[in-house]
Amino acid sequence: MKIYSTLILGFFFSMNAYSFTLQGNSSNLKGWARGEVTFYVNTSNCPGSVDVVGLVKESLEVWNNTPTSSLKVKYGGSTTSTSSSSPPIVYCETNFNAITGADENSVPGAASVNTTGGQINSGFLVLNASGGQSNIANLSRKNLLIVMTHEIGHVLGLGHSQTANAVMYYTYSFKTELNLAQDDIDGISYLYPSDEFSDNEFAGCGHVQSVPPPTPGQMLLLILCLIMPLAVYFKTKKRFYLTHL
Amino acid sequence: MNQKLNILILCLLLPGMSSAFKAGTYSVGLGYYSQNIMNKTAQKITGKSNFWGETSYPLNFKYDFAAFSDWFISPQLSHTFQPRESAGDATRITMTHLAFLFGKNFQGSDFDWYVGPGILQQEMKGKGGSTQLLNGSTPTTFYLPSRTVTTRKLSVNIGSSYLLWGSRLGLDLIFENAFSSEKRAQSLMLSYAYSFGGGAGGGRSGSGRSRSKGGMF
Ligand SMILES: [Zn+2]
Repeated sequence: MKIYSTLILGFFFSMNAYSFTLQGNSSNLKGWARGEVTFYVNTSNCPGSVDVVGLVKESLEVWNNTPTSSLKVKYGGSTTSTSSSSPPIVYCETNFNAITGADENSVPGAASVNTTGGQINSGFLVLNASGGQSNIANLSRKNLLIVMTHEIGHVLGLGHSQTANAVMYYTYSFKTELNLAQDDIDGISYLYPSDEFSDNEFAGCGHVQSVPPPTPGQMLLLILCLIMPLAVYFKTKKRFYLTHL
Repeated sequence: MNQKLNILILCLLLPGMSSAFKAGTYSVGLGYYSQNIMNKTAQKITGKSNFWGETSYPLNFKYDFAAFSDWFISPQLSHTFQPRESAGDATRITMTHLAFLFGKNFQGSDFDWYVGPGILQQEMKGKGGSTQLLNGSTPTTFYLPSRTVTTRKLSVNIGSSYLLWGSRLGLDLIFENAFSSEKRAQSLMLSYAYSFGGGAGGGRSGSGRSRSKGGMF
């Protein structure tokens, strides 16, 4: 069993030009086993001025808004945990440097996941509540949202992107708006692909009961298969009619 | 629905003046496919979005069946033989869209309009390998995707095409997750296609100004 637990620190410099990358220790990562990931939040050490729960909820919605991904993320409630968990947790750390090894004056957040056999089995997101300059209380709400969305992306299994437009890009210092880039959508769709012909969803309506089978996707195919011969039938019928005029 | 979207749909439905659909017509052409349009994705390092999305160039194939009355059924297949590449060519993304379009010609016009369901497939093929990125003060290895992953979505399509010099100029809107306020997305396809074969302008209201060749997407 291989365990990967390197902390991915918030927003540092990168070198080569590649697109989205993956968390973990191999190219074979598949994300969390279930495409429905619930986040719990421990606010005990968070600055009173920061609405961490509100930020988490809003950032999760950004990741929910990905058309080709089946991923569903949601806020589950509060927790007292401060360690890597399943489901994942978000907490604020006063000893940010001791826990993450990161510079408290430049890193507002970090995230980590553990993997087994290419699947994430636990994770956490830690926010800087230290005495350093990058304590989350010193960031604007807009920047906090971008940081939170970026770190949640790590917990979901994405590494850094080197596409400058991406939320998973190494820095938020140029960002004035929070929008996923196509590269972020590609990354999350790679980890949690949506297949409406097998995942019991219909035109984005969410999960539907496939009782009795077939699934709605298969139903649509059946209908289309019926329509095509009908079209050919009408066409040939028309020709027949014309030749007998 | 977004006001820009309403205006686009209105433009698609505006009547023009002969007939674009022709029974038995094959069309082959090139498309400009803009994925996730209308402020869906960040287009700048600032995170700012705009109308356009990610671009790829599919080849389009279409065939017109005269169905009933003056209606046509036209299966349309789009495929990006040249896949869209993510930055650094780490992942190649191939789009295939099969749509079953129902439509008719605007009477006495070179325009047609159509709607219909489709299946939108996206194959993402990772090249694998790894790259070193700084994480804190020391470089960390980040792995690039290596698997081949396929997404398949039902699409709802609405579009219009215009007959011009024996070719078709088309504008299609492709909706994914049409009934989800959260995951709904729309893409746009501008297309140019050469048409061959085909007979009458189609149906009872087919144009008298029929052209023996030419049709379009
Ligand atoms: Zn990061």
